[in-house]
Amino acid sequence: MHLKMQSIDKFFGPVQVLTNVDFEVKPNEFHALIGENGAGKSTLVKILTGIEHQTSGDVFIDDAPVHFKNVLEAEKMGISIVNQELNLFPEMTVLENLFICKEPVKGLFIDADEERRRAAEVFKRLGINVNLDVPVKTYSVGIQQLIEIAKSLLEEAKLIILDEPTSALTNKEISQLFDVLKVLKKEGKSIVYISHRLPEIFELCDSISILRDGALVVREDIAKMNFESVIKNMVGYELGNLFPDKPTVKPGVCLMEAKSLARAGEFNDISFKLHAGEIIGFAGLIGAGRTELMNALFGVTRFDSGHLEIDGNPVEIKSVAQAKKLGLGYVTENRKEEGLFLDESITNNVLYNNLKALSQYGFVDDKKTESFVDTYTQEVQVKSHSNAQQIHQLSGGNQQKVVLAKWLATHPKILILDEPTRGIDVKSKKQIYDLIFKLKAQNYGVILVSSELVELLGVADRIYVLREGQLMKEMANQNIKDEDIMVHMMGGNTYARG
Amino acid sequence: MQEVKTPSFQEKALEFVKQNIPLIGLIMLIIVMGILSPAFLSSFNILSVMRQASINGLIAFGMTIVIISGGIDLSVGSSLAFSGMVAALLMQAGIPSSIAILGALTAGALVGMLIGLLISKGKLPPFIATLGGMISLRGMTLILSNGVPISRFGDEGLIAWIGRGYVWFIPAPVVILFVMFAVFSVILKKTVFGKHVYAIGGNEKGALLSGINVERNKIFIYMISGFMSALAAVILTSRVNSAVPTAGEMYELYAIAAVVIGGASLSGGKGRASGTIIGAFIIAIINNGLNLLGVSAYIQQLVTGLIIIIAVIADRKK
Repeated sequence: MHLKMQSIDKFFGPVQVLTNVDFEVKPNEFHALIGENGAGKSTLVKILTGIEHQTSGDVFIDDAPVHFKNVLEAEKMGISIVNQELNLFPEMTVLENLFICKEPVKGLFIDADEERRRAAEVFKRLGINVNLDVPVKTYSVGIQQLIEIAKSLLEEAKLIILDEPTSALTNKEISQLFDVLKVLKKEGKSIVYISHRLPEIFELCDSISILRDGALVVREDIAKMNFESVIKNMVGYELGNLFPDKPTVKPGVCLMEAKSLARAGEFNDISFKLHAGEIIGFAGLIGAGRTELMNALFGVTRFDSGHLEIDGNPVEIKSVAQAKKLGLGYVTENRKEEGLFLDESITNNVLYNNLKALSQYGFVDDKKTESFVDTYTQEVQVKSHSNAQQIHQLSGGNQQKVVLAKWLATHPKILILDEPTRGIDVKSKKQIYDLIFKLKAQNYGVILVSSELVELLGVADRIYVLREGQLMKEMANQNIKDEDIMVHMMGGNTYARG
Repeated sequence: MQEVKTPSFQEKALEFVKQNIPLIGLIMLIIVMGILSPAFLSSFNILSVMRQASINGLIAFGMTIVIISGGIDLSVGSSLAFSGMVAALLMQAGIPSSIAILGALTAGALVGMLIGLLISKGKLPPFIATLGGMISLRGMTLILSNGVPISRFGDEGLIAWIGRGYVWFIPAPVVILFVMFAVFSVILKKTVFGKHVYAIGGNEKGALLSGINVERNKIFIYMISGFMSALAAVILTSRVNSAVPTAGEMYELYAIAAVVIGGASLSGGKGRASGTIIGAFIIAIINNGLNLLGVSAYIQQLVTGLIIIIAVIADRKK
């Protein structure tokens, strides 16, 4: 299949997420699609698979114009996708999953013999051994992914999109996946390979497209690129004045010190220090263990071992309530799922987090609540009709400001911010950065977890890099570049596969 | 900044209608019944309807808190029979009725606590935990009573007043219903516990991350539900002057119906005590009104069922 997308523009409301993007995958080409979070990769893929529709621009398959109204139409044309979150039904058998909604029938009944014959043939081609009659959940994520690939082959896919296929796999499973991909190459399929793991891209792909801020920056043969040039194209932004000048605050007393914190399967041997008036950053890929570490710091989960001190006193945080009492605040990664009560008013969202301060003898003081909530929503500049407005009516940026307001109201000494600017507009982003610096000037200690390197470089005083649950590097944020961080995040040149 | 314009009278009226669909439904029902049957609006009949609504209403208040928290309590009917039987057995053993009543209320709360523990500490889904409670409590009641009702507690003491007595001309159960309505309104609107209930039902993970002790609150929520069933049990036992082991069958469903007609959402986070009392009145009026009109009991059930469905559809349309 020869896929061509020409001059694709895509708007979500007033926000342009793709600008004049040309994207091409040639027959039997393995093509890498690279970009930072929010660069527009997933939107492009959604257009390609019929989930979203371009605002303008054309898609051609083998030089014939196509327009997919839905996923099914894209599938019929031979385009299929294996997502980061697998779309299998865990309780159903492998065989049932392979033919779901496309069951061959004989009269009134499903033709199981035919299914079995076709499934066996595909798995033989791929060189893997799978029991068709056990529930899918009995297999590891790696095998499940291969089952998804087999499923797309049964649907006669000619172009398969793999979205971060290795992010949850073990090294052995990665080898197995690559063996399968080599079979696909021989069979003449095309692949769009989306990954943050550059060494894999250099091993697998023929060519690469790099997106940045919704535009195509470069399309090139992989042979003409190297590690450094890919990263440079990926992050080649201008810092501009998105980040205000850092306030010059000398770090004060040590607020928090962690020594060899560990939790099985999540992170291991993590040590760090946080001082008053300091912003420390945590960098790492998805699955590096950053959020898991924050959850444990905040008493959502518990450490298996290690030592934690707050204000010089050893502490063991057993609950969220205790963490709050010790002066911690936590703006979580998923504001909609964890941070907010979407159907409730702004007032109630702030109130639920500050019930102790706003009540007496178990009764809520409504009057005090009103002015209290006002104070903090104004401090973070929430834009709304009134505090009675429901959260789901606010924009992402304003929702995030409500989350910040509800935590500032608890007067924490240490504020953990996990991806505080994910999915929000640039103006709100800037306001949040201003706020973080204001907190620094007021001697707060801030822990910033972010996948956007530009954000860490623009805000943090020191940066800790995690990879696969290990602390790879601690660096002072002076004269360092994104490449320096990314090398440690990805394992860089030391990357090796067993 | 966006401009905030003052809403016109029509907009305000429309908003009021949207916010108070159960109340408007109740008023319309009263008007229709009043036209169809003149006897309906007599003061005697109105008090009788309210007395009919009281038992379901009291159970439904407990159910309201459970449902706002995102749970469900199927055990209330059996819990009612069980605590009623506890009161009866204590009185049969010669214990003064006021203490026997206290014993029944304690039994109801303890049963609720046990169910709450299964849900919070045992991580059982509320549907399963209370279904198990519903069936096993019915069994317990039958064992305690040997399957035979216990009757005649005399015309003296609290047990005679609570279901059959009056305050001035108002039946005692109706007085208790309105007192409890006030209590539950205050709990839900004004107290920290009430806010916890809404927070847990609205977003349990979010509540946990706000430092709310979700487990302890859940135990308390089901305790309240058990207590309210026991309160209803005592009133019922007094009214019929008898504790019947099969009492309260299907009561859980009528309580859920009252809460849902009152505008609460079974997915949690939404509901009001005022909605629930209106829901209980609507159910009682349908039964009473159809009785007055001489409609058969079979058709009454059919109508009640349809009203529940219509109420929820109307509520969702807004």
